[in-house]
Amino acid sequence: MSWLTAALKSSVGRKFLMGLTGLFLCLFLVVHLAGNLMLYVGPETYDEYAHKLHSNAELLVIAEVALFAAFAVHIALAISLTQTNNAAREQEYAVKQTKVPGRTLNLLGMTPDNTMVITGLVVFLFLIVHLSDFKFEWAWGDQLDGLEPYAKAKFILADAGRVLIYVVGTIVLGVHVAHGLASAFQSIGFNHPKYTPTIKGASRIFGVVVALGFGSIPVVFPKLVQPEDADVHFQLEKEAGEVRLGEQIPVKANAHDNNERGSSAEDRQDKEHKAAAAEAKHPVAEAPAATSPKEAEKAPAEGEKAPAEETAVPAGDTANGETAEESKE
Amino acid sequence: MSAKTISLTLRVWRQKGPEEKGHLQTYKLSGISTDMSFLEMLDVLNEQLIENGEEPVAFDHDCREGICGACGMMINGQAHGPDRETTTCQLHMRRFRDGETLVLEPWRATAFPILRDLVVDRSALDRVIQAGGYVSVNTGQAQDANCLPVPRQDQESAMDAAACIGCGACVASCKNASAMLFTSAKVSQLAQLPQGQPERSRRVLNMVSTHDSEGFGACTNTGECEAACPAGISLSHIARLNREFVRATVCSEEGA
Amino acid sequence: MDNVLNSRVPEGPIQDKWDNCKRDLKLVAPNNRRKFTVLVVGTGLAGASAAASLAEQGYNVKTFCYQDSARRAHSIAAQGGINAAKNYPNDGDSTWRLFYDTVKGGDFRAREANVYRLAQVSANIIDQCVAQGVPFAREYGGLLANRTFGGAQVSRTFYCRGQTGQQLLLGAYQGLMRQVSLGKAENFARREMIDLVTVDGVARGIVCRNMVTGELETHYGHAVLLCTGGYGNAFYLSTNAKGCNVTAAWRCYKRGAYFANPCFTQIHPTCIPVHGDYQSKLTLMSESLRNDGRVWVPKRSDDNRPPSQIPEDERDYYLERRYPAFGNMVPRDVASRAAKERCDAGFGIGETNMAVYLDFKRAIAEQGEDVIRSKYGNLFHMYEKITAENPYHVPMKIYPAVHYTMGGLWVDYHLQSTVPGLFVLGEANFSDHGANRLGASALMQGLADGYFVAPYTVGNYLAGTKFKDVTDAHPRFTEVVDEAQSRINKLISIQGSRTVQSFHRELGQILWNQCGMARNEAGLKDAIAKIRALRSEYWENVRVPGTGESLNQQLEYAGRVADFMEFGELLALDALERRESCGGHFREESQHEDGEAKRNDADFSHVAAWEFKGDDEAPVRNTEPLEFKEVALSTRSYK
Repeated sequence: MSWLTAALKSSVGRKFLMGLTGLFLCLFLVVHLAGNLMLYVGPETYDEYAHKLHSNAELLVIAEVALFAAFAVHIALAISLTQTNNAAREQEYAVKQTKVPGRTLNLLGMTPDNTMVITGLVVFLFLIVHLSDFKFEWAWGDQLDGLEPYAKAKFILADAGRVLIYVVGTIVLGVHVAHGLASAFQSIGFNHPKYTPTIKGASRIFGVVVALGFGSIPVVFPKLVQPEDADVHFQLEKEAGEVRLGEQIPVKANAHDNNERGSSAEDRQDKEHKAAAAEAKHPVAEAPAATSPKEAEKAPAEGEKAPAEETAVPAGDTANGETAEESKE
Repeated sequence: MSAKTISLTLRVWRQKGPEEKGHLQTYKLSGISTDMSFLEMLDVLNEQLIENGEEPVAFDHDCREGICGACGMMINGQAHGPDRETTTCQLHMRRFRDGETLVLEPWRATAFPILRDLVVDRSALDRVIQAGGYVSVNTGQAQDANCLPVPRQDQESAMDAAACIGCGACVASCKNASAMLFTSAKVSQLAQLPQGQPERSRRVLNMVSTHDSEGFGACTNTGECEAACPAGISLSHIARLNREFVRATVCSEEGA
Repeated sequence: MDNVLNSRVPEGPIQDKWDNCKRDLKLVAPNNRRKFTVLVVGTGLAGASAAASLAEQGYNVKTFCYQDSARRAHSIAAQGGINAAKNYPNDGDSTWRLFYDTVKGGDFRAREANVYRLAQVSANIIDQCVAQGVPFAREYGGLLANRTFGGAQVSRTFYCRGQTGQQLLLGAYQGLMRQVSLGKAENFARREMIDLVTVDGVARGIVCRNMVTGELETHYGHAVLLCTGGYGNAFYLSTNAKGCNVTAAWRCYKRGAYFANPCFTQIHPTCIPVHGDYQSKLTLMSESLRNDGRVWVPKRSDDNRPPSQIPEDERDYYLERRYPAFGNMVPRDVASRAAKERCDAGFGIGETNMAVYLDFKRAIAEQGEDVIRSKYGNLFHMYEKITAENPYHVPMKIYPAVHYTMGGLWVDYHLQSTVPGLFVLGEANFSDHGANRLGASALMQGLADGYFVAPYTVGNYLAGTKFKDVTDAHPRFTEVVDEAQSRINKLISIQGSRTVQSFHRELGQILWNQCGMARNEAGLKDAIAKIRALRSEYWENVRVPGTGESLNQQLEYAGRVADFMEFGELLALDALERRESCGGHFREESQHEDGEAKRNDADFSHVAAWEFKGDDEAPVRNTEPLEFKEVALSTRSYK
């Protein structure tokens, strides 16, 4: 097997594997983004999706392991290649300029392709936060206990600091994949005069989609509804069978005061407290609710029903929680 | 060809020897005809330095028509200066403005030790070729040239790759000081020709291995090399090298 | 004297001579070849191909080049193509016709037997190069394409776009690199050969300067192959690379090798004109451009209109007018002289009035810009780079420039010089091109010598010679190193007031003006006097900065110019003594009434081989008579 180690030690072999794992991770991003975008559809769809995803625990473990392995390899190769590359030029130029035409869109000379290590590092840090939020729930104590995926997302993204981290993290991720996707094709040797221009274009579009798709969630999603309303909506949707986005907009308009939610974050010690807060806010939500009287009526029922659902699956609770994060990476 | 003259400020890397410390030295030049080539401008500088009792700036050059690959320096941080598909010797002063400041540095790469001023040792590129950049045919073994038809498309593409002049601009411009464009040009040329087939796997494995052990970095697909290449070698050759490498690793019996 | 200049041409009909020679060659047994070391100086087409071929046979080979890599030798700059008598186009070519064209093109001043051998092996070269992976142009059917070149009426030129020399050189270089990786050859780059070491009159080694450390190194072996190219840079401005020099050949001359026909220099008709005092070199535009380009000047000498405004009937397509049979495709010497004639007569164009137009208007109209671009794109690009004019729209301006030197060290049929063990290959020897070289023949000759001639004849020499046990510990090596060192020390110690370049430029001007495209007795005598004066000033007033113990490009240059100073005098002397016009050598005293060159076969049908007698003595002009049995002596006519 010396041939294999030799290949994997070589610059080309490492880049090949880098590209391969990168492509796999891009594929994962697509799946993840598709799942996350269901947040916009509504709690019901989203939670259903999350639950379905987690219903097959064995498959999920395999997927998680593969994903983790891909990350580990991708990152290890990044470190190793960076070492090689840094060693290849010990003294930097006093002046360095690009000759690539059209590379005017840059930030202090930084472009997606020459900052892969930096963007990769930012994405890595972001990932730690993200995993600690949604998978391990380290930062949140028991605040997230018993929350449905949708509610949990809302809860976490109600934090202004988190919004900032998620927006920056996902935009940087977009920048990373904008070069990474096309570069991966090149590294695995796929370059063809007929397809490469398309791949390059698609890669940039992919970067934008990733940045906008993921990045919009922390900005737009919390404003769609009050975090505390999540469960209300969940109930309402179940009852009404449908929720039209237009109906939620007034809610968003009324609840746009982020500070309020920010300050209330400290108070979110337990579920009861939160429920109380939700109740307290109901008068605010009443105006839009007026257009749909049923919503207002059903709202109080939410507090009762949601916990009931949670207790319905007590054993799978933590497992579900973890895997739900997984789908959000 | 109506020439005008310009004045320039040059900041030139001066280094007495491989082990010495170098620095950027500033020189003022005036009366530079815009019809001069860049190296002729340096000739003028050197004549002045000699007349002033200073040592002239050492730089590699030979054919001065853009084909031998001897010349090359970073001009304001760009390999071979601002023009595309142009060697330093084919760059002309009409490209620059009056009063401009130009920073001249040697190719910088661990695999290219500086010998003096702007002169570097590029013998690592020779060793990459020695690792397999050839067809093993002895003089006298050849059959009639037309016994081996080569589709024109393949021939043209091989010629695109073969156009490499071995100047090292790809290494100099690459943020990783990778010689992948150089290496791939030879791999790609021979991989596309029937003559190259018998040694196809062996060649790519050995050349990549030597490329790495010479201390060149890995390709990050930024395309700086392609943009700096005076011979217009395309990144697609690196992709072909990657393909050839995987094919040789996975499918061939080479190295088993 | 006669036995020194024994050409060793084998007996028999011309087509059998090479076979007869090979039949009689002695061979070295394969297991004995590793006991021999061959030193190859220069890694151009001739050097790299010879080194690779000898290493393949099993000899130990050491190669030396002044460039930083063997791949950069100036053969790389040849653009147009390489001739071979393959007759693939089925247009009547044959070995004999290539031979005939070359002898006639050389104006009957080449040795017939050598030229015939060249034509014979030309086909093998193409085979060899294709096998190496040289990407020659091909037809859609996948078979090799050909194009026409000056001086021939058949299409026999193989080419790789406008980079034929590069591709052929890389093929040979790669062959050499393969031998390096196999341990059979060793390449010493950034080494300049500065002297030949002879022991008892036999070449046994060289002294070279390590251009990085300044150290003088000695290398010993059983044979020395000099493949160091031509001396065109004696003229300062030429199409040669800046580093090309005569030093190695000149040192060998001073060690006993005869220098043959130094006055045979080729002035190439299609170069970009000189446009300033600062100019450091001239750039050649491939002769292949004349396939589609038409050369003209205005009919009125005071016509200063831009070329596009000069109507057809006011243009003088003087090559088509004077040489209707060959038109724009006349050989180089003829085309160059015709351009000079028009410019001297006041019809030149451009700022200096020393240029003529090369116009592609008709070709673009007939074939389309894309076709022209595919043929000459890189040349047009280069032209535009240098001149900032677009030749697709404005005619190119061209003027002749020194390009190639047919003269060189005298060699016999085995390519051995008058110093036993010293072989000279490629442009460095005098042998195959006579007084004028046809286009696309230089590559052919370099590779023929390197791949197919020297590997046989050097083996014969090694097999047939009793060698003394000589290493570089031999006192002769020490002596030669000391001489070389004192020359270097002298150059550095002068510390005068003029730069090396200023001397070189002045020497070039003397040679170009008085020993260039047209020469006369008074001018040549004056040139010799001027060169002598310049040389003595050089050794008193040159300024070489720095030391000899490091990379010092001025010192390298100073050594080369010092040798050009001595060589230039011999060049002028040879031109003076050859009182006839032939090929690239045009003596104004010897011309027909219509201005065409007038050869003097009765008195000058010979090779002039100059023998060094000492620094203060006049060199001796020896002659090797040339007999033309196959191609009847005739006046060249391209009308």
